[in-house]
Amino acid sequence: MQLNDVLIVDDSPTMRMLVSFALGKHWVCDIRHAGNGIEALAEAGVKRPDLMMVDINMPEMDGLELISRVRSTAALKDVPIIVITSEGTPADVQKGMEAGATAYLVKPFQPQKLQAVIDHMFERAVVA
Amino acid sequence: MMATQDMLSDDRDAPDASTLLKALHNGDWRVRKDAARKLGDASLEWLSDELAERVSSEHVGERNAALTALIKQGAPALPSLARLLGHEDADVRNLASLAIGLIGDLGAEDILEEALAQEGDPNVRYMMVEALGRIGNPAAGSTLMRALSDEEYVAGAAISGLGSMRWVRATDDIIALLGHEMLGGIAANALASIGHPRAFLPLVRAAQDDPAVADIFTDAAARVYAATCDRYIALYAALRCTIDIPIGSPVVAATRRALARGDQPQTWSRFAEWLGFPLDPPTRLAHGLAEEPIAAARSGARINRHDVSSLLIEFASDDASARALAAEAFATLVEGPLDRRVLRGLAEHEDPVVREALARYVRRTCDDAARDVTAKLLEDADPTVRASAAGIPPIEQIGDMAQAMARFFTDESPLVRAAAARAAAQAAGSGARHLLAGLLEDTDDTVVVAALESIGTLKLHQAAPLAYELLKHESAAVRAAALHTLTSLSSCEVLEAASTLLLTDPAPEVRAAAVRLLARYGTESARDLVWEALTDDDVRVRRAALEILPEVSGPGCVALVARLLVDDDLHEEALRCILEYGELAAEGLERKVAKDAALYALPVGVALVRTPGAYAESAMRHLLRDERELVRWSAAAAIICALDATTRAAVTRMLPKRESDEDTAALLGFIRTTA
Repeated sequence: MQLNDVLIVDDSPTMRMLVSFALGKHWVCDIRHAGNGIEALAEAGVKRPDLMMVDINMPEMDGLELISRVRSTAALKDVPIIVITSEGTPADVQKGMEAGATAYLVKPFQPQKLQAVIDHMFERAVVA
Repeated sequence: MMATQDMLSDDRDAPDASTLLKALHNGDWRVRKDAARKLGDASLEWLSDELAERVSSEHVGERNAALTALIKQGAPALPSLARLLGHEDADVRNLASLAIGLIGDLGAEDILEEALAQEGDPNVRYMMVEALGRIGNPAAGSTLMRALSDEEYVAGAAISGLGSMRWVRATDDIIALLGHEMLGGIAANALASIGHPRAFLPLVRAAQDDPAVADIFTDAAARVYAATCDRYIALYAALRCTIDIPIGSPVVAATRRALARGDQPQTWSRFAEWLGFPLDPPTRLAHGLAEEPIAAARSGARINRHDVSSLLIEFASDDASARALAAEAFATLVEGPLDRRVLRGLAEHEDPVVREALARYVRRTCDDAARDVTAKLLEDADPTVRASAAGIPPIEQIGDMAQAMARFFTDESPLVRAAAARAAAQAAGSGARHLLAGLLEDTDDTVVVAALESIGTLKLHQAAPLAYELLKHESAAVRAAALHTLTSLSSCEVLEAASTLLLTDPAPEVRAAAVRLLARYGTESARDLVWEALTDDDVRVRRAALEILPEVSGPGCVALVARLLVDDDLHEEALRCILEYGELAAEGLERKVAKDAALYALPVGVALVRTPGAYAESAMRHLLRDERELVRWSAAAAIICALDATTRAAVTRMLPKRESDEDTAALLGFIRTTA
């Protein structure tokens, strides 16, 4: 499985930029942004992403709701989802995984950690 | 007129609010969203506290819905949110900070700065710093500068905030972070927003140092280089002609990629012609700016790299048009800082065009040396100069803000009074904002409109009654501005009353504004009014009604919108609107609850055509075999819409000439129009 298109869903523009930059350093792929769950569903509907990176706490539709909607949509149900959140208690992680997350990253994290998680999921198309 | 709080009394709304609060816990996110929206429209203190309590709920959906409602309430929710900043749970403090930032009230930075100084959790500090950036009050600039030395995430938010508030003094600190493994991209973006020319070469170097992310740095360099010109063209020209970067370097390659993507209207071949264009001497730049933007863009590098003596010579010309063009180049291209004597000389130039250009230069560059001339420009005899100078940020540094503003508010020129009204919206913490209401009685319409806009931005709730009175003003522009301002100040009942009043306004633009406002609440009466507006004589009003229809109406509106598919002016918008409803319509069809399935068929069909897969094909076959002719034609129309233009035209020619009923005729008419 190759990583060509990533959808980052976070209400924080700073966080979107941080994650984009970290991804861009190690992966050659298109990166799209959404500010909440509703925007994310619209983006994913236009084109199925290879990976979604989702924050939990967002106004409008939150991350958990988004994940469960993605998992119940036939065209998107297999999209890997990495949850990125500041809530790192075992109960929080469990909630995310039960909703259908593939992996969990607790903020603040280092770019190397993100790279390791994605490396585990995808073949590298082009190494920078 | 009744004040907002009177119209939405605690007693009358207590049962409704209680039901809505319960709905925040509902399992369906749409129910939670709807409740949050309605609760957000009511700015009652006790309700804010109730919502704030739910921000610490274990139920993530309820927590986010409460947060959404608080954000929608705006400034009145701030006291409740401020209390949450002291909550024992870091996640709650985090969410409260997020909400305060999204509310964006200019006075909230004090609350955040105080809490930030006490905060131990880096995630919460991150959110607080980001909130300060979102609010964008320059008063928080020093706090954000200090946050640059905090942990990486917090520093990232600080860089973002400094960029969005264009804090020029942070330029060097942010340049130093361009090589940072994690923060480099965000630093580049911030430098692009600040736009100080000093960041250009470091950005180019960063792009060359790290080819993997060259696009990010190159884009930022382009934005820094030519904010007023065609950025990639200007950047390429600068790289090749002025700085002489080799053509194979990453930054040039990234620029070429940007050009090849077609981000700009100019084509690559046209650019090649320009590339052979000889560099103009700086004195010809000003002419180039008007006649040939690329020449000016390319030569802008020379202005930035040399002194402005050539332009000063041009300023001494007898030719007024030459002075005007030179002034334009000065105002938009010259980088600072400039010698104080030069600045003083320009401030005393006899041509007001030159003095006005100087004011714009100061606004753009925030050149510290130029502050000396700001006071002089504010006292200028020419109103255009005073108006331009009134926007120099932060104006409060020149003296007592309220006193200065009071003087501008009574200036003889309406241009200056309007500029001062707009500047008041940026002058946080100033007493001048309370003088704004006085301008609502100004004799000049542009001044009243500017004052209304600033009152809305500052959320001066006490001015709501005055704004409501202006709905009856003789000027359509004032009536529309008053309505817009009320959206920031009033409850849904006031807004519904205002919108209803203006739906019969003689000016179509005012009626359109009134229709758009109806989207803020989804009451049945509002929906009826929007439906009525779909048949308005003026296309602007119909378009406004169509745009907001999905917000005030459920899937049933598809049937209404479908009728607009044959509206000569609106059929494209109608189709887009229906596509947005594709998912809801598909749900309705699956559950077989749609009474008017024929009218659902087109949107469903279009949605299915756009969604490849076995289910879509099966559903489409089902629609094509439906016993109702209109359903079959709707499905066919959806397929035809998805064809390429040539095939579509050919298929359309094969359509039957005679139709069995009026609806089918309308549908076939639509297909022919589209083809």
